[in-house]
Amino acid sequence: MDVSLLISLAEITIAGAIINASVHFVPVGGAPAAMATSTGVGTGTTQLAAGAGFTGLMAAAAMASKVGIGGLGFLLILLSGAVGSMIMLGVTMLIGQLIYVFGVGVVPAADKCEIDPITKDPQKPYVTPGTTGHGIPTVCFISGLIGAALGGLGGALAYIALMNLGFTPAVAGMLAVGFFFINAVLASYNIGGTIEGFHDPKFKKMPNGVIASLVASLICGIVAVAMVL
Amino acid sequence: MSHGGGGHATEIYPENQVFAVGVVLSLIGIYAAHFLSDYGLSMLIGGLLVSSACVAGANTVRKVAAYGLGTGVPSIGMISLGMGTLAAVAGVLIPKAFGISYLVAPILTLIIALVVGFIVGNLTVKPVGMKIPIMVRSMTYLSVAGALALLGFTTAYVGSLEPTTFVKGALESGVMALAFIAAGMAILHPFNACLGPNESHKRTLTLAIACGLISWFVFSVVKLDIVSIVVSIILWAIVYVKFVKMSLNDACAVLHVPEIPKKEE
Amino acid sequence: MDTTLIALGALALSGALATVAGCAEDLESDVGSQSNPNSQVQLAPQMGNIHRYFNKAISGEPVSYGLYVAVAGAVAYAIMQMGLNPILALTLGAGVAAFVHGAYAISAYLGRIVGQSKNFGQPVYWDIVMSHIGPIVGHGFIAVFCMVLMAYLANTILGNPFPLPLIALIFGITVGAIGSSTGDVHYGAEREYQKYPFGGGVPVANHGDIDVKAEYGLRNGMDSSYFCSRLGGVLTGICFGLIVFLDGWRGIIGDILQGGNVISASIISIVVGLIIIALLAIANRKVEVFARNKYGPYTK
Repeated sequence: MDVSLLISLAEITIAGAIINASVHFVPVGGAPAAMATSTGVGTGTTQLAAGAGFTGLMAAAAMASKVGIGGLGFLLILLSGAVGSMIMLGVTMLIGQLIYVFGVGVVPAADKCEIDPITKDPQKPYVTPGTTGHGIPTVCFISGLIGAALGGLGGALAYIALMNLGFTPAVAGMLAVGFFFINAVLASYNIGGTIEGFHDPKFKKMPNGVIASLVASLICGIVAVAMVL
Repeated sequence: MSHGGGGHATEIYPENQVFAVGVVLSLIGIYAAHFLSDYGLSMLIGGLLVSSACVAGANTVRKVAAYGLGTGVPSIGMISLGMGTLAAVAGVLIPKAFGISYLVAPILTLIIALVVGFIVGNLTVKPVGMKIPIMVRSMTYLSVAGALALLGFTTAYVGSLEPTTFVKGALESGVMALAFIAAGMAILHPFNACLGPNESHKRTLTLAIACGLISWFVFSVVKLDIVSIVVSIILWAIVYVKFVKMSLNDACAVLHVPEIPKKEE
Repeated sequence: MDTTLIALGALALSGALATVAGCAEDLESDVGSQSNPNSQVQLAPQMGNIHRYFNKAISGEPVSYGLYVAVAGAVAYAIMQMGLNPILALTLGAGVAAFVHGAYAISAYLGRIVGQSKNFGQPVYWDIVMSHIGPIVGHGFIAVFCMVLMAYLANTILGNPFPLPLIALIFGITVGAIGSSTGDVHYGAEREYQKYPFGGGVPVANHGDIDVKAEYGLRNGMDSSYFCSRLGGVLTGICFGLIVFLDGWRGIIGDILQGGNVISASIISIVVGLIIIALLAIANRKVEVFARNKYGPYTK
């Protein structure tokens, strides 16, 4: 068994775990957030993670076709994927914030913490009674950026691993899309609906999801390696 | 976004029966698509038979989502198609790596989908902790349905199971991306659209057949096969109109004017 | 012509197309009431509010838009293989996608109204179906056409190695995720609850108590779209346009500043990206502080 095959297998497994972890960082309020009833972006966990991750995947693919996947190129592709994903989620969260503040008239406030860990602002007085927070306070924004970076990184790493196995960009891209969805949905099931970011108590469940993804990605990696033997 | 848990009406056909029929018909469809391509019939016969995989998948989603999936029905469609993509591509490419004939591709896809679906299904129970009793079985069924639908539509488009032709025709062209999302939507939409306390198996199945047929129609357009386009759109229209009529019949009232019905006190 | 110049032009066009696509996608999801705010429309009959919204429950926007744009991309690809003009191919592709969109939309309305709200006396309003399906499919066509044209530009000029249908799928998922996160909030938190005073979130106790009466007559999806086109639609368009433009622009800046050396160009593009992200975080903080100072805490 070729060493490079084992390295690709390891890369795919780790990529899956990173993708799973990334979904836990993104502040998603689900259906209630669209009615300003809970903090975070108003969409589903899988969907937002997929949107950010695929933007990262596209950035990584464009970079890979320019610099190749060896040496420094490896690092550049990972960073490119992360940055592309962060821009997408950052702009989305900022525009969402604008709509919350100017369109709906709420103050960004988190419900799962008394004081914002980053800005040290009190949150409780600004939460509308009867809701569990609204908008995107700074801690959620930063948490989202971290999540996007990891998601883009994971997607790019999976893409590089598949390219190293010898697939063409089109095949690698398609397999990366399917692979990303498997891990993102596993994370979404682990979260069980909504999460505010790394300060949310639900965040402590992350190890369960990561372990599940490690196993699932290992299986996927073995299947992928079997395709090129 | 939708949530399951809208109650679970009685079934007309048992889930295992629908699943078995779907699997058998799709396998026949895939082989037909491969062998009949010289006569130009691969999309016509293959596409029609493969739609049954979408129906089988939609039926399984109906059963598992009724327990309340918590994060919505779309996720389960996407994970089943994610596993299906891996199984389908692996089924086509692995025979070459081990020197077996490529004609075992559909069977190999079936086996890989079964194994991956079973493992991932177990992972969702432990350590992820989903509390749905039939989760493992449903994930396995959905993985198989997704894989066969994906492999079926792409084989019907390409007309051959031979690895290099398949990779060039389905993956390099990107048609597999369409198969991914079209099969995914056909599997998750029927129950998602019909769920609720008054959900009926008959209506959901009719919509599932309509969604499978419209996916076949889209692939016929992509293949530019005129006969297949005409046949698929006629069949789709028949089933869809049946669904609309059934719904209008089952509704509590059908109004055509902007009038809110008065509530009886 | 200079390749950088062509790439810059294609990128500017992509940014403009993204803005139109984002706006059209959001307005379409407002006419048809899709995704998360639709949960309120579904809840309304249970709360005693018989409504005249188009209850379009097609999964979430990312998945459904992924479908339409992928259909358009694959059909366009097939027609271009025949040798026809790309613009014609993209238009025909978007047309087929619009047809699929219409089929899914009507089946979603019928399925949900009959399956979920029948017991609470919610009738099927056939005139709503017939009057709304036009704008739904029309806005969808505009959004899908812009996206698939963007995918075509990315595939041919901007150097993306993926095939057209795959890029189309990814763009569709992205526009759906963005529209669902930004514009839908304006619809869900503001327009659906227009009768409640401005400011503040919607408490859980008020869920389902959506507007049934409009400014004149009964509320339907077209009113929502009209209102949300003032803010929600515009900001969604700007959001997507900014994302597409900024992501491509940082790459081109790298090429312009260090054209010969691919490695340093890439490093510059990453650094520019990080600067942009820092600016976004600062802007978010400024908006948050503005809101805290201007609106103030709840006093009671």
